[in-house]
Amino acid sequence: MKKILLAGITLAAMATGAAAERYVMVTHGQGTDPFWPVVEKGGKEAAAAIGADFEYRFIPSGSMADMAKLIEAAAATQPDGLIVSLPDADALGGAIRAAVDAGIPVITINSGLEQSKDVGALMHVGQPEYLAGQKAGELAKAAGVTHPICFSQEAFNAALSERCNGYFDAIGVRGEIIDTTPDPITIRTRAAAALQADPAIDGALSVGPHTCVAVHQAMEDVGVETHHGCFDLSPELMDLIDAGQVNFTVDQQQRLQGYLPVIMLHLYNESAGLLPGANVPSGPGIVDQSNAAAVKALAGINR
Amino acid sequence: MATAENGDAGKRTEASRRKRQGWFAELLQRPEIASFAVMVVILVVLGFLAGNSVYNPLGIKNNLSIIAQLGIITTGACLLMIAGEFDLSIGSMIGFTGMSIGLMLKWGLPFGLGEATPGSAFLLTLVFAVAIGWSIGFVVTRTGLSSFIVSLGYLFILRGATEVGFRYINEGSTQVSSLPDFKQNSYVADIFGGQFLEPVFSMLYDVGWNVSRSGKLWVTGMDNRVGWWIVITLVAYVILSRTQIGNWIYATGDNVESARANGVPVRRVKIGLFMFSAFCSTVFAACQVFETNSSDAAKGQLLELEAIATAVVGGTLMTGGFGTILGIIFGAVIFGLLKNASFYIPWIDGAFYRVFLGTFLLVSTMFNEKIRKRITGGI
Repeated sequence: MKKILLAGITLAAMATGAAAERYVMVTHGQGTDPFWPVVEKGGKEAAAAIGADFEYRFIPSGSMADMAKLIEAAAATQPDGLIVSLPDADALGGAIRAAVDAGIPVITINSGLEQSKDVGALMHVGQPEYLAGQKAGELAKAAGVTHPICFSQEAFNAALSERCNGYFDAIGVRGEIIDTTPDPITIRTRAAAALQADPAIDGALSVGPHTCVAVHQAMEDVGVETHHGCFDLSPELMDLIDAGQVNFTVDQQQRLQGYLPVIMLHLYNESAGLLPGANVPSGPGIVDQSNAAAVKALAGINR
Repeated sequence: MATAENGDAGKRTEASRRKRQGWFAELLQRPEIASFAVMVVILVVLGFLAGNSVYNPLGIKNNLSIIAQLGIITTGACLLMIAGEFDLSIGSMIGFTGMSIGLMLKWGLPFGLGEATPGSAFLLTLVFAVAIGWSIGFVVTRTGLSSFIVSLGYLFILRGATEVGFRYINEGSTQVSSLPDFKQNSYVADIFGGQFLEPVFSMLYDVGWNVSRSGKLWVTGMDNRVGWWIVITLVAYVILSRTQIGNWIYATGDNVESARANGVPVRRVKIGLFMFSAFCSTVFAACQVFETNSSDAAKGQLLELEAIATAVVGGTLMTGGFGTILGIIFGAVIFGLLKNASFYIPWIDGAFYRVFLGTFLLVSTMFNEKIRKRITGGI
C-alpha cells in the first residue's frame, strides 16, 4: 500500500514538474545587500510573465568555492536554463562548463563580461563595475574634478573597488579609497576626517546609497561643496539629487540583469536557438536632477 | 613584619598590600592604570599628528558618538565577561532589533495591533530582544554548554532571521528607507536619535569657538547616544560597585561553584546579564534607526568582536571575575579613537586602521596583564 502511494505521489510530482519551464539563477549576492533583491525580482517577474518557475540561489558566505558547489547542485536538477553571475571565472568556470556540457543553456549576468564566452555561456547581460565607475569618472572630469576620493562601505568587496578604480582612471588621478564600513556614524566620521585631512579634494564617489547620504552629511558638517557622485538608489538619495545636493547616481539597472536573461533563455529554448547577436549592457543609467523625481518611487524596489 | 618588608624594596608580601601610601602611589595600584596610560598616550599623540581635526567641535562630536556606541555594547559584553560568559550575538541582535523597529514603523505592529509609533515599536522590539536574551541565558545555564557556542548559534539565527524578515515582510528589499522624520513629533524618537547639550554648543559659538567655515553655528549638539552611554555606564557602575548584585556578578565569574555554595543565585545572575546585553544592543539599534530614519539588514556585523576587544583593552579578564567600569570607559575611548585615527592623519593610508587596532589590542592586553599580576600578587 505504502509503495503504491509513494509511486503515485512521485508520478504526480514528475508530471507537474515536467509541464512548466524552470529557470535557476545563482548569484554571489550575500543576502544583506540591497542590490540583489532587485535582480531577483526582475527574474521572478519575467518568469511569471512567461509562465515559468523561477528559483533564486545565493551564497551567504560569499565564498566562491561554495558558489561553485551551488552551481553544480543547480545543474544537477536539470533546469531549462541557468543564469549565473561570474565574479571569479577561475573558481566557477569548471562548474559552469559542466552544466553547459550537460546540455543546460547558461547566460552570465552582472560580472564576468570578458570571461563569459570562455566558460561556455551563450551571452552576457550586465556591465563590469569598472565601466560603470568610468562613466561616473567621465561625468566628474567633465565637471572639472582633478583631485578625487572614493568612499566604499565594504573594503573587501572587489566589485565596489572596481567602481572606484574606474572612477579614478577616467579622471586620470589616482585617489584614496576610504573604507567607511556600513555604520552610518562611522561613515560620517571617516568622511569628515578624510575631507579635513586633504582640503584639495574636489570630487567624491560613494559606492552605495547609504554611504552616499552619510558622506553628504559629512560634507555639510565640514562645510565643503565637493562634486559628489553615487551608486545605486534609495529614496533619500533621490531627494538629495532632486535638491541638487548630490550631482548624480549611477543606476546599474540590475532589474534588467534579472529580467532579460529569463526571457532570452525562454526564446532560445522555444525557438531553436534564437539569441541576440551580442552581449547586452544593462547599464549604466545615470539618474540626475532631470529624472530623480520620477525614479524616486521605484528606488530600491524596482530600480 | 613592617620593618622587615620596608628593608627589602623589591620584595612584596601580603602585608605590603595593606600599607597606606601617598594618594599618587595608591593611584598607581589601581587596575585601570594601564588602560588609562595607554589612553593618555593616544590622546597626546593624536593631538600632535591631527589635533586640529580630531579636537575641533566636529571631531569631538563625531568621535564621542563612536566611543559612545562602542561603550554601550561593551558595557553589556563586559558585565557578561566578568560573570564568566561571552555574548557573540550582539552584532546580530543589533541588526535584528534595527530591522524590527524599521519594519514595524513601515508596516505597522505585528499581531494586528495597528499602526506603530516610535514608542510602541521600540517597546515591542525591546520585549522581543530581552526575551531572546533570556533564552540565550536559559540555554547556557540549563544545558551547561559554553556560552561562546550558544551565542554563536544565536549570531547565525538572528542574522538569518533579519534577512528572512526583510525578504518576506519588506517585499524582498533589504532596506527600510523613506520613513518620516519621527524626531520632529515624537519624544521617544528624539530621545534616541536626536541631540542634547544644544545650549552648551550655542554658548561655545557665542564665545567664538564653535564657528563653521561660513561663520555660522557649526556643531548643533551632542548625539543622544552619548547621553545613553553615560546613563548606562552610571547604572552599571552603581550596580557593580555598590550593590549586592555586583558582588554576585564578580563571584559568579571568579568561581561558579563557590558562589553557588555561598548562596549566590548564579543562574539568575547569568540570565539577567544576557538580558541586559540584549537591552544594550536594542538601545544601540534604536539610536541608529531614529537618527537616520532607516534600517537595513547589514547593520551591526562583527561588532561583538569589537565589544570584546574593547572590554579586554579596558582590563577585563577573558576568564572572568575581573573588570571595572572605568576600564570600559578608557577602553572605549582608546578603541573608538584608534578606529578612526588613521583617517585623520593625512600621511597614513586609512587602510592601516585594522593593523593599528590589532597591534594596540595586543599591546594593551600585555600591559594590563602585567599590571594585574602585580596587583593581585602574581596569580
